[in-house]
Amino acid sequence: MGRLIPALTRRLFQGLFVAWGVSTVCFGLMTALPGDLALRVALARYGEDLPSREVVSHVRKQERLDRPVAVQYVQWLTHTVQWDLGRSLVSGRPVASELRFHFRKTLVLGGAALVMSLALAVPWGIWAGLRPGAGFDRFSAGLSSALVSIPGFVLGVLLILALAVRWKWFPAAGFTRPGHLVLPALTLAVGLAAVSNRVIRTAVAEVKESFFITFARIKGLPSRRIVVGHGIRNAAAPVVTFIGLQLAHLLDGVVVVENLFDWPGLGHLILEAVMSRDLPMIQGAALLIGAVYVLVNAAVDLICLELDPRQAMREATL
Amino acid sequence: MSLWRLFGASLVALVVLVALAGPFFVERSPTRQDLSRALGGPSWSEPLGTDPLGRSVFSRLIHGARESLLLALVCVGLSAGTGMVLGLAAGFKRGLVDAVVMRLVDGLLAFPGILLAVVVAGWMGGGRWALILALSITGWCDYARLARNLVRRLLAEDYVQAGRLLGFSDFFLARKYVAGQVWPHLRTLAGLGLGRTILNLSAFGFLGIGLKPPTPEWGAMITQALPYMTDHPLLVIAPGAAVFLTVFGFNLLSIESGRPHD
Repeated sequence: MGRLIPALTRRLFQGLFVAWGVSTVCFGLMTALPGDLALRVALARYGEDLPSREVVSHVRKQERLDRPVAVQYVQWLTHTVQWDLGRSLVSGRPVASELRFHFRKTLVLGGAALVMSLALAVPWGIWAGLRPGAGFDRFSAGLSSALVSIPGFVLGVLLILALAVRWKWFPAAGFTRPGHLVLPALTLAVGLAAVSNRVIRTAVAEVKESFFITFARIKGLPSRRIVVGHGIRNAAAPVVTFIGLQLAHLLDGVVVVENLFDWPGLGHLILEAVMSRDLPMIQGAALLIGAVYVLVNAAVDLICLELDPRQAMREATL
Repeated sequence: MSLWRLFGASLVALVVLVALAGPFFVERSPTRQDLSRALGGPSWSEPLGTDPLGRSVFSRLIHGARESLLLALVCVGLSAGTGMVLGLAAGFKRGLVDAVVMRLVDGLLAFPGILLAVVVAGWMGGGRWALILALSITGWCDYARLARNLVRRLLAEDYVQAGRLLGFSDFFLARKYVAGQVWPHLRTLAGLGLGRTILNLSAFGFLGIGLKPPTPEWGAMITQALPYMTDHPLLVIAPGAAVFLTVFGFNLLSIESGRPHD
């Protein structure tokens, strides 16, 4: 435990720094945009009909967009450290509660996708890794390359056409019933599994060839005990690291998939906020995502330390 | 396994050929609308039918190949160029240059890339340069890392040390020793990068923050066809297949040329 505390503290500061950096860069980009911010907000708020000059100047006054950028930034920062993320420029609702709702939706979708991807990738990767270079391994290498090359939205559309339109097994879009979760989660899961099955395969192949497995075999351990006691744990460390990396990158896929399936998660929220220049909303989302990024990475590091104590020794000597 | 690579190479060759020569052979303009022929199915004159505005899907696909490849080449070229120069500098100069470049790389990779890209691409309502910036803003990091680590490893070698002692300049050392070593890695990274950029470009097009509407772009073609996909699935499948085959080609070509399958 002794060495965990400084590591965690460092992570915490790193997390705060990344979250601050992300939201500051977003603020800079959004305020540096050419064009009238107030006009964009008015458009998003009152519809596409060109709002009159009075409406625009009303929005500008009300949201205090006429102040200097530096003042706006300092104001946002002081409010944020007091846990006040402000209100959406478009809907007028508190950013924090909007984020909470959308983040929960994304968590559900991402969690379902992760579980599905593991259900696909673990047996697939182990099967290929037990006999590297054999027919199935070669076939699965080609299949993985092919699946990686399909854009998420094309895969999603194909799944809709097959499973929703033709066979009517699952609904195509919406978010009210659990069935709505299946297609978007499956779309994300196939993309994730296409990569992670190769990582699992390599980990399994390496552990299988390793000295300690040979030794256990020479010792005469039954193969069940070799796999459970020595194999899984050793193969798991690189896989967990990779899955953590994937989780961080899951967000890339989420933006596309949520917009295809009309799933009201963070990806949906971000795109809409950028389109309508909803500054406080973008800021809040950026803070949240930056924090999640660092948290996921920290969790992965901790799990790997637990799985493979040798790493801790290596880090301690650094 | 080289059969896969051959397949990848022929896919890439086909797409490049279509992008270069295709537009000269297709008579119909990719942007000419003809509402009287909207949503026409496949025929002899229109092998892939027409879209909701009566534009030729075939022609749009072919002109789209040119757009995608050109943009991807520019992005990967920019990323590779910037990354190699910064990485070489960091590798040879050490000290402050190294610290600044590598912290910048760490910082950018700790960033949620998609958020940055969406914000940048939404910038200026998605002009072409904003799009290029969004697609390559984090792309150079891989090249910088590669170049720096390679230089560091080579500088420790006896023959490079000997060259240093003889008074050869960093530039000469880089040209003489690093260039030959870096090429296979660079080829792999650039090939994968081309595939990924085309994938991202189509995703941006799909989200409505890519190339501006009348420009034929594969991702945007899919978005425009979504409301009609139940009755006209070809409108979605054709551009989807175009993206897939192009990216698949680049991936096969570069994965197989680098490390053996993984």
